[in-house]
Amino acid sequence: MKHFYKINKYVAPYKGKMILGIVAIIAANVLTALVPILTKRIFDDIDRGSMTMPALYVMVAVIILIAVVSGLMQILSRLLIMGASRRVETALRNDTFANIQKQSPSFFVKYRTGDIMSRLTGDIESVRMAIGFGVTFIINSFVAFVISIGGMSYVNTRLAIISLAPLIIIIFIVRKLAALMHEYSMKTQIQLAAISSRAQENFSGAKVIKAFTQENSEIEHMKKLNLDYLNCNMELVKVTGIGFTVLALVTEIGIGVILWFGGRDVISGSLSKGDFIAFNMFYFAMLWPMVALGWTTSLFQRANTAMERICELLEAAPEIPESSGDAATQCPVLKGDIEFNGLDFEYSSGQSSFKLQNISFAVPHGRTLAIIGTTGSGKTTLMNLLSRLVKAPDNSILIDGIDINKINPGALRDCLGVVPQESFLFSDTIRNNLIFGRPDASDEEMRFAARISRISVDIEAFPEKYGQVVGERGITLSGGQRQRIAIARAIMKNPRILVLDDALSSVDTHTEEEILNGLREFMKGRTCIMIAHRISTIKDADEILVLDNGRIVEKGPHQYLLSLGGMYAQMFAQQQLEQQLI
Amino acid sequence: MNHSDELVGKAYDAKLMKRFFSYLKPYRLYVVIIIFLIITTTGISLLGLNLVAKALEYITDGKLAENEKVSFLIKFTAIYFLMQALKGILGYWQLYITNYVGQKVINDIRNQLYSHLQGLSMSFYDRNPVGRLVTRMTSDVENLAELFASGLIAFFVDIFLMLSICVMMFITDWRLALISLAILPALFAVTMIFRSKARQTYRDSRKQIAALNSYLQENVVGMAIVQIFRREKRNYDDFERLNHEMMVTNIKSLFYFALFFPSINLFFTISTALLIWQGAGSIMAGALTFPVFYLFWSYLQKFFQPIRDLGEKYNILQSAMASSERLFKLMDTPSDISGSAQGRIVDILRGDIKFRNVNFSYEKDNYVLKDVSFHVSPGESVAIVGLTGSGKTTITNLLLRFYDIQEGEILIDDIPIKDIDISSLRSKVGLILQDVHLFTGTVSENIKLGNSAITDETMESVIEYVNASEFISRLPGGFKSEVKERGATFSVGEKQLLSFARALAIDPKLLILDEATSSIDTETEQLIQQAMEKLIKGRTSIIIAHRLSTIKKADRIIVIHKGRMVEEGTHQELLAQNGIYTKLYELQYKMQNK
Repeated sequence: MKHFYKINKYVAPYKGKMILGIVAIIAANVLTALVPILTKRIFDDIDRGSMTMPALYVMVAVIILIAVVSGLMQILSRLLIMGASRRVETALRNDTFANIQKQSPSFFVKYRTGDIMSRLTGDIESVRMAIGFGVTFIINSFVAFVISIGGMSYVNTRLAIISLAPLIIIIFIVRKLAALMHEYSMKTQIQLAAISSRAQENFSGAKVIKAFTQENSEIEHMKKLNLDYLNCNMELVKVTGIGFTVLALVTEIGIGVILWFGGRDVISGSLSKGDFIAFNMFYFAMLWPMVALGWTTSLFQRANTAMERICELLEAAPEIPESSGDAATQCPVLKGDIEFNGLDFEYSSGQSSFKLQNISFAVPHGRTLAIIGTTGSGKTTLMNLLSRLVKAPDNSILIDGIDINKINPGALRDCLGVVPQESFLFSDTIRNNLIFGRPDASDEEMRFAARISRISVDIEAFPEKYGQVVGERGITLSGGQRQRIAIARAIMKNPRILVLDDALSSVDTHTEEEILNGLREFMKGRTCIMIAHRISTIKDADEILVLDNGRIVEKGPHQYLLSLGGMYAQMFAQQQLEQQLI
Repeated sequence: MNHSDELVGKAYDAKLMKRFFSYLKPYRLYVVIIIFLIITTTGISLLGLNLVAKALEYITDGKLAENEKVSFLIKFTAIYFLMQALKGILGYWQLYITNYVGQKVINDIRNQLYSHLQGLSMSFYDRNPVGRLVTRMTSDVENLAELFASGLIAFFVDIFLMLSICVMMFITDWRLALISLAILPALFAVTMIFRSKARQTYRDSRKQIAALNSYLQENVVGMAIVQIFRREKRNYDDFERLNHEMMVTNIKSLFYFALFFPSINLFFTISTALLIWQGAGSIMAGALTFPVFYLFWSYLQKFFQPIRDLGEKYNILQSAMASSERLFKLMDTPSDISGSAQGRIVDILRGDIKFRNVNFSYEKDNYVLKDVSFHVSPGESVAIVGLTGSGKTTITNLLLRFYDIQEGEILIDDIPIKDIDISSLRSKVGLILQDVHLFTGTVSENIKLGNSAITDETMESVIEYVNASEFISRLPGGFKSEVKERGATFSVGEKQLLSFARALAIDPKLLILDEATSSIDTETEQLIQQAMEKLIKGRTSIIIAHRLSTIKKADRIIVIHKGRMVEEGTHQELLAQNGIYTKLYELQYKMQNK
C-alpha cells in the first residue's frame, strides 16, 4: 500500500464527508442490530404469555421505523463516500492532465498515447473504486461483523463461538483462493494476449496471409490458441467453482451447527425460540459482509498498483519547467533576431536517433531563412529546439542575443507562430481551430488570416462555413486544406517569428505561389524560418541552408547555391524533372 | 481507440438473444443436464429449509420426551448435512458444466468470427483499422463470455429459485405468504424504475466518457501544438469542464445506485416485520406454530439474496448486448470478392498473363488504373516502373485478386481470373513484398507459413538456393530461432532473403516481386541480386523495380504513368523513345549507373 497513501492529499478536502459517511454506516448497522433483539423480545413474550396485540403492533412498527432510518443512513453513507470518490477521481484526473501538459516530446515517446489513456481511465477508475466501494464495504463488513458477533454472543456465547468456527474457515479460504484465482487469471490473461497478438498480426499481415493462401492454417492456429485459452479458463473455473461451493457449503454447515447445538439447548430449555430466531438473524446478517471482505482487499491491492502508474504521470518532472528563465527576461518583447551558435544536439525517439552537429547561422529580424534537406536530416528537431519543446544546450541558441534557456518558454512561444509538419487540427469548428492561439481575436482578423493562407474560399464553400466541425466528428479535410488552416492559425497569432515546417508540401504549386505572395506582405518586419522539401517554396528566401545528416553542407541564396553545383543544384535539377512528369 | 465503438445497446434484444441461443444448440445435452442440476440444487435448498423447520417442530413439541427429541435432532441434523454435501457436489458440477458450455460457445463464436474475417477481401482490411478488429476478437467476445459465466445462467437460477420460493410459501400457508410478499409489487416497481434510470445514466455516462476520452486523446497527440500555441490553460479548462460534467452525471447515477441497494434491504426488513406481525399474531391465536414461522422467515431470507446483485448483473447484460450487436454485424459483413466460392480449381501451369482494357478504382470514380492492357508470356520477366502512386502495386494486387476490377478483363493462362478458384490461383503465385511482413514464431515457421506440404528438406534447399543459409546458420538457434518484434533483429536485406525463400518454397509458376527501396549493404545486395536471378529463371515474373540493375535484366519494361500504361519495351528501346521513361531514368535510376 506504499503508493496508495498518496491519494490522501486528494481525499483530505472530503475528510468531513468521509467521516460522516462512516458514521452513517456504523449507525445503520447498529440500528439494524436492534431488529433481531426486538424479534427475540416478541417471541420470548409470546412464550411467557405476556404479549398483547397492541404491544406487537408497536414493536413491528418500531422494526419498520428502524429499517427506514437505517436505510436512509445507508443511502446517506453511499452518497457521501461514493460522491467523494467521484470528486477525488475528477481532481486526480485534472491534476494528472495538467502535469502532462507540461511535458516535452520525449515524454510522449516514453509514454505512448494508448498508455497515457489507459492510466487516465482504467487506473484512475481502480483508485476511485477503492475509495468508494472499497471504503464503504470494508467499514460495513467490519462493523457488521463486530455487531453480529456481539449480538450472537449476547444471545448465547457458547453457540456464538461454535457457529463462528466454520466462518473463520471462510476468511482463510477466501484469502487462499483469491491468491490462486489471481494466479490462474494471470495465466488466462496471458493466453488472451496471445490470441490478441495473433489476431493483430494476422489482420495487419492480411496481404501476406492471403497471397500465400494461409487462411485455413491461420484458422487452425487460432483454433489451437482458442482451445488453450478455453482450457486455461476451465482451470480457473475449477478454482472459482471450488471457492463458491465451499463458501456456500460453509454457510449451510453453520446453519446445521446452529440447528444441532442450538437445538440441544432448545430441548434443554436454555435457549428460547426467540433466542433461536434472533441468533439466526445475526448469523445471516454477517454472511454477506464476510464474502465482501475478500473482494474488498483485492480492490485495494489493485488500487495500489494503479496509483503507482498514475503517479508516474502525475509526478513526472517537466524537462523544461514553465517558470524557467531569468526574471529579467521573463516577458521581453522580442524583436526576433535568431542566432544558432555551434549547436550540437542528439535526439532519440524510440530506436532511431538524430544528431545535429555544429549548426551555426544567424537570421536578423525581418529576414527569411530556409532550410532544405533529406528526410531525417534533423529539420524538425530544429523547430522543436526553437520553440523550447526540447532543451537546447546553454548558449547555443540566442534570441535577440539572449540565451534561449533564459527566456521564459511561455513568453518565447507568444512571439512564435509555428506551422508544424503534421498539420494537426482539433475536432472542433474551423473558427476554433483558427483562433486556437488567439481566442480573443475578432472575426475580421480571422478572415484576414484565412485569406492570406488561401483557405477562405474553401471555408465559405462548407455548409457551416467557419462553424464547420472538422475531424473525427465532422468533415474530412484534404491535406492541403489542413495545411492552409494550420498556416492561418499561426498567422492569427501575429507572431514576431514565423516557422513553417514543410507547411506547403500538400498544396499544389499554383496555390503555393499564391500563399507565398500573400505571406510576403505579412512577413515584412518579421523573422521567418521555412523548412521545405520543394525548392519552389524557398527559392526567394534571403538565405538557404542545406542540411544533410545533421550538418550544414551548403549555405547561401538560391542563385549562389545553384552556381555551386553541389547537393542543392542536384536537388533542383531533380525537382525540375519531376515537375515535368506531373 | 475508436469512439464509434461506443454503441450503447439495449439491455435486452430478443433478436440478438435468439441468435445467441442458437449457439447453444450443439450443447443441448449439457443444457438439459444444467437445467436438471439447477432444479435439483434448488430443490435441495428448499428442502433443507423445510428440514430445519421440521426439526424445530419436533424439538419444540411438548408431547415428546427429551431423549426422543434428541434422537430426532440427531437424525435431522445428519440428513441435513448429507443433503448439503450432495448439494455442494451438484452445485459444483452445475457451475462447472455451465462455464464449460459458456466457454465452448465463446470458443465457437471466436473461431467463427476469425474464419469469417479470414474470408473477407483486402478492401475490408483497407476500411477497418486493425485495432478495431482485434477489439472484436478480444473484448467483445470476452463480454459475451462474462455474460455466460456470471450473468445469464445465474439470472435464470435466481428467477427459478425465487419462483419456487413463492410457490412453496403459498403451498405452506397462503395467508402468511400473501402478507410476506405484499411488498413484492413495490419491489418490482422500484426495480423497474431503477432499470430505466440506470439505463439512461449508463447512456449519458458512456457518451461523456467517450467525449472526455477523445478530447484527452487529441490533446495527448497534439500536445506540441497545445504548448506552442500556449493553450495549456484553456485546454485544461475545457478538460476540467468535461471532467466535471462527467462527474455530475456520475454522481446523479450514483444517487440511483445508492438508493437501490438500501431499498432492497428496507424491503427485506419490512417483509420480515410484516411476517412477524402476522406470524406472531397467529402464533398467539394458536393458528400457527413457531417452526412454520421460522420456515417463512428463512424463505424470505433466500428470496431476497439474489435481488441484491441485480444491478451488477444488469450492467453485464447491457454491455454483452452491445458487444454481441457489434460481433454479429461483423459476422454478417459479406465478402466483396464475387464468385470466389464457385471458382474453378485450375492448375496454373504456364503462367501466361493478359490484361485487357482494365479499369480499376479502390473508391468510386477515383480510377487508379485506366484502360491498361498488356501481355506477359510464360517465363518472361517484366519490370514495371513509374512514379509513386502511379498504380504499379495495384497491378500486382489485381493479379492476386485482392480486389475485383470494374471494367476489362484479366486472364491467367487464358482463363478469366474471376473464374479461377482464389486459393488455386494464389497457391501458384509467389509474392515478395517491399516491406517483408514477419510473424511471431520461428524462422522456419515464417518460411513455411503454416503450409504443411513444405518439408524441412524443401525448406533447407530453398534457403540454400536463395543465399539465406549463411545468415540463418549464424543465428543462435538456426532456423528454429524465434523472430522477435516483427523481425526487428534482422536487417532489411536479410528479411528480403527470407521472403525470397518464403516465395520459392511454394514453387510458384508466377512471381510477383516488389523490390525493397531501402539501402542494403553491398555484400547483401550482391546475395540478393544473385538470388533474384535464380528466382525469376523459368518463371513468369512481374517486378516492381527500383534498381537499375533489375530493370536492365528484365526481358521487358512497362511504364505506368498516372494509371495508364504509357510505354513498353527494353531499356535501350525506351531510352531511344526519349519519353517518360527517359525522364524517370534520369530522375530515379541514372545515379545508380556508376
